Amino acid sequence: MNKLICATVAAFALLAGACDQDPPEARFGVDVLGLVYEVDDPNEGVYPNKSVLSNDNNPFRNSDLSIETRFALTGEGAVVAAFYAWATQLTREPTGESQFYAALSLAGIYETSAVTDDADLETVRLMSIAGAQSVLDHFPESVTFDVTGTIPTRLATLAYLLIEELGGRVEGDWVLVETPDGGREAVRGSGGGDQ
Amino acid sequence: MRGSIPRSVAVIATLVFACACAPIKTATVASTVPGTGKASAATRGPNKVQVYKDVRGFKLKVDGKDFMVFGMNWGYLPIGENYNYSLWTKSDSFIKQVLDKEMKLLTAMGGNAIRQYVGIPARWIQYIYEKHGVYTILNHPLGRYGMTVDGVWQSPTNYASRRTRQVIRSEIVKLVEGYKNTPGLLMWLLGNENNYGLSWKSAETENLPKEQANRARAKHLYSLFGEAIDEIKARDKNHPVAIANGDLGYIDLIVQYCKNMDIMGSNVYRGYSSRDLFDVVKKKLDVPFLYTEFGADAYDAKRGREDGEAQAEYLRTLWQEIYEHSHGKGRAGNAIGGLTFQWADGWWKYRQEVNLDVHDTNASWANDAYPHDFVKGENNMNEEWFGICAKGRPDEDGFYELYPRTGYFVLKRGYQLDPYAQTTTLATIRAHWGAIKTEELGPSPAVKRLAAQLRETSRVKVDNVRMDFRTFTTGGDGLTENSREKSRFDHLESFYIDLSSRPTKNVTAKLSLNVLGNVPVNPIDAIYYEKRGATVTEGEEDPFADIDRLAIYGASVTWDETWFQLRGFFRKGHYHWGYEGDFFNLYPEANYGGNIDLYNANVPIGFEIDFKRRLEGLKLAFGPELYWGANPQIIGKYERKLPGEVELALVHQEEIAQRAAGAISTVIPTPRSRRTSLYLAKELGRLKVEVGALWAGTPLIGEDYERSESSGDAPGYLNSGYFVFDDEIRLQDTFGSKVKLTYSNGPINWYAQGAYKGLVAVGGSDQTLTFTGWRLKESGQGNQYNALTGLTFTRNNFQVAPNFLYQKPLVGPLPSIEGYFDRPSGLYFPGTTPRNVLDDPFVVRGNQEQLGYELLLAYDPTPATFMWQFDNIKREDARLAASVDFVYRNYRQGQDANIGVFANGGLFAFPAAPPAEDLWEVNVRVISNPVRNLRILAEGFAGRGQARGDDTRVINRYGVAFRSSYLRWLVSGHLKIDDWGPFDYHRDFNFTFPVQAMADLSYGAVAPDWFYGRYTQLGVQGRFRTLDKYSDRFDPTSTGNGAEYQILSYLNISLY
Repeated sequence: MNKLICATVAAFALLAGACDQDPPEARFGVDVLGLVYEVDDPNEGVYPNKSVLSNDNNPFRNSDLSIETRFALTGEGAVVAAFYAWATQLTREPTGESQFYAALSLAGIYETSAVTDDADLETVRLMSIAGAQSVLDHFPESVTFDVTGTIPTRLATLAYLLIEELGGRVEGDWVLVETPDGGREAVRGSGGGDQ
Repeated sequence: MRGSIPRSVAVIATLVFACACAPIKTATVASTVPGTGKASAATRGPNKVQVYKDVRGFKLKVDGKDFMVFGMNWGYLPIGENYNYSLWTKSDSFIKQVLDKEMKLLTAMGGNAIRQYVGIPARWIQYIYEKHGVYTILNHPLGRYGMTVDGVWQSPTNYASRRTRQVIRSEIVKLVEGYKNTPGLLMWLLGNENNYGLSWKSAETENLPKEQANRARAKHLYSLFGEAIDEIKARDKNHPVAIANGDLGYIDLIVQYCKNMDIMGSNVYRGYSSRDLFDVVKKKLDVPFLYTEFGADAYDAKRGREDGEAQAEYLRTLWQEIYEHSHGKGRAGNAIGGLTFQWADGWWKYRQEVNLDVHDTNASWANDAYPHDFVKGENNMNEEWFGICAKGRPDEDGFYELYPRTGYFVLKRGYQLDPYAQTTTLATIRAHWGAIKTEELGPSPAVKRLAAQLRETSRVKVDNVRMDFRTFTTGGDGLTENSREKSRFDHLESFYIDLSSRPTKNVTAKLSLNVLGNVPVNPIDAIYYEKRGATVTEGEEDPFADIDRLAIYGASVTWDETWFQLRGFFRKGHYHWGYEGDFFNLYPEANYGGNIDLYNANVPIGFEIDFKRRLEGLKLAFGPELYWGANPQIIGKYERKLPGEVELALVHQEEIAQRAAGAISTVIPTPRSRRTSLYLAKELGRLKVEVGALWAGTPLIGEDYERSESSGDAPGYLNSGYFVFDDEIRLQDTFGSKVKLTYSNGPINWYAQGAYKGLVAVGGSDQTLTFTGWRLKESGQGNQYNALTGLTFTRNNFQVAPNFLYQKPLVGPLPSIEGYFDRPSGLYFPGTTPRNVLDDPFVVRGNQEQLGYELLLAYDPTPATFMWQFDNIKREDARLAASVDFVYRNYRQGQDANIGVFANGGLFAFPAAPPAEDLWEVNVRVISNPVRNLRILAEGFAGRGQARGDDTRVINRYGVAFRSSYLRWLVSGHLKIDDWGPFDYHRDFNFTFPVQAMADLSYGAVAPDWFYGRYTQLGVQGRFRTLDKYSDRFDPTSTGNGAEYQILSYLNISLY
């Protein structure tokens, strides 16, 4: 036991002397338009996964983004930045809107091949499908609004269409029906589901 | 016996000296049987007690007649009470009933004397003598367990202090003047093995080796004994003076300093025979000898069961030896009797303040002179089992039955021989005592068989059954839920069954179950233990709710082995290690009172192991949640004394995983960590120096964090006024250190401490108490440096205690800066938000920059019942004790964000924290025992406070609370103005109520238990509160303020 005590005292002393002194880095802007995506976790951006917060490539993991910034990134076609922005927001405030735009951004990454390794493209496609399916599973009644903030659109329908567009298969009892005005809407065959 | 008298004896004595009350008229006992212990009670003044000496030895003569002390260490202390209980504070009728019953039993055995510590009023000494013919040996402890000097509690007593000696001598003088003419007083007895408590420090002794230091201290002790003896003898010629030494320790100093001592008294535990004891006393002191304690316990530690016959055999041989060494038998001739230890079992003795209603079988010391249950390396002396009578549980009035063991009957038969009869010789003594067969006087074979069967059937037994029946009548106005506004009635039934099991002699397990009947939906305080069994939504049945109708309320297990003791706990509290080397409080206390019921938290859960023998000093604790909010972990501590009386402790805590959820915002799990601390302490006379090093949070090395610094006049990052830096946790952020100096000098005590804690060098909050009940303490968090200092000055029972704190985080809180995306450049400028413990490696919360001032004023005439003791509301025995504590906190910097808890238990971070404000609080506490059976506690508070969440409103809150009991009645209540509601979330979200009032009245089947509060009682309680826009459940569309009320009636039944 005495040896253990001595070793502990010595360890304290040695470790105290071994401290490095690199200065911290002053923060400046990050180029988010040029980001490319590297798959860190195949469930990233799919509720309730929160691994995006520990992804070092995520420039937003430590900051809150306004909704305007998130839409601005989406509008700029900065698909990787937009994904990180929406996926980060999804962990902080789980909504169908954040889930949908995270999935949509993944689809954008897939379509533009904005990945470090093309071998990851298939994974990204599947992630996008899983994100859209998550909208149907977890946020079936969520809506998003147009730029005026007044006209709602059901995200379930958009998610359904996104899955189809990516060549995926919608899980669950969702069906696409024609609305009286000629549009299409995803509804559940037997009704019910999570909110 | 070690620890066998209360430390408050000295204080009680101080109170009693002043009131040696008027005598009580009683019939006198006239019969006299010389020498056999049947006392004469013919005198109305003091008895003339003399030590008689001739060539054949010594005898005691009382009023001219030979007298052998067939004495008893007697006391009356019901199960469930401890050293604070005093029979003499009860009503006269109660005392008389007790004395009549017990003295009758004692005299039936042949007993003729009892030993009593100061505190017994003179009139009761007289009553015991005149009614029962029993003499009293009055014992002043001479500060054995500490004493009050000038209003300051001193423990251990410093016999080298001139003032202390003066106070003791003055007490002795008062005692003698007050009691010397009391009929029935047999002799004065000083101390109680004080030579075993020679541990005070002084500059004079600190540099001496331990033995020499003790001897130096012993000189002070025995010279004081000598002075006390002289004080007595100068004032009282009628009674001899004895001391109660620990065996024959320091007998040469007794020879040197106690020249006028009449009788040598000793507590002796030498087994079947005291061997050369009488001869040594004769040779060295040449005075008569009296056992002031001797005997054996009635528990067989080896076999794990009661054994009254073994105890009786020790008593038989020891008493035979007394007879043989008495006057004129041809041996030492100096034995004048003994005070058998003891009359009845002391259920309080093991741990003294907990498990008072449990007859602990823990053997606390080893003595190979008791071979029947001695096993090398194991303890065999069971402190709680020394009675020659077993003790029954008290009834509702506090009376209990005694059940004499074999030892009682052995003494009864033995005492029938007159030691001083002409015909009593060595041969007749040996024949008489030798003819007493303990096995014949013990329980009959049938009773033994029954006892064995009982042991078998009571392997699992029901300790208690409790039943709570409550009705709730509620209503209100201006509430968000319309249904709550109507007058509604509902009821609650909740049942508790406490089981215990003893599968082997060294394993004890306890289990408490709770079963629910109906669970109400209308209580206005909607969080309560039984809520778990309520329907999920009002009016909507939950098909699974019945699962929660049966719950484990608590469980514990104790496993006592030769080399370890294991204590398992589930919803049962444990203490911290702060007083035993855990300098950084890594293992906090886990006694949560009613809070774990309120939030239905299944904590703490785990077990502790204390190692023994060669691993003495090593402790381990392991469990999924050792304390509320703890991550699953194992923690170990090793503590030992190094050469030079340096105390060393090493603590290591390894968290195994991170807990995901919390129940309330104050117990949010912190990031998984690993901590090691080292502690060294040394006492230098009155100064104690403690230093410690902490290494904590290494799993967080490499984690990113953000920090900000004021940009001064520059616009800063995103024009925020701050420069923002990205950094990561480094090795140096894991170190912490702390230094503490305490200086104790009776009325003046001072401490100073300082600490430096790296960013993630997180410890626990300081739960130790330094001198007094200061609230301003180190938070224990990492990321700070701090300094504290405080002083207590006590005089004439008043204490003034200023205290100061300064602390500052190494890295300040993070401001809210909104991120910005610059379209033309494609650059994103990340914003910042206040840190929180869920997402960041460290935060600024309790460690925010502050300058704290505190002034504590206290008045406590009975410092032995320490005002800041956890159960002081039950123990305080002062007529009036009070304290006022004012704390002012000058916060100089804001905080990071706190964590909130959703109704479903999910956690979230508040987006911000309230800004820095100056906050203050005053707390007043008064506790009073103005007349017998009346107890009053009054508390008040006022203050300026802030929410824990993000609301910026500062509130000014006030309130008073009281509780009072008289006999079996208990009344309590409170009135709070603009205060937070009762639950954590009220403060998190800054929910306040303009008025909160409560009044409660109950009547118990027994006197109220102030601390534990579980007894049979019938009561009614009213609650009322008004609601405004800041209140929970207030409907903002209603006009004016809202209101809620609740009338609760309750019947609680407790079978024990």
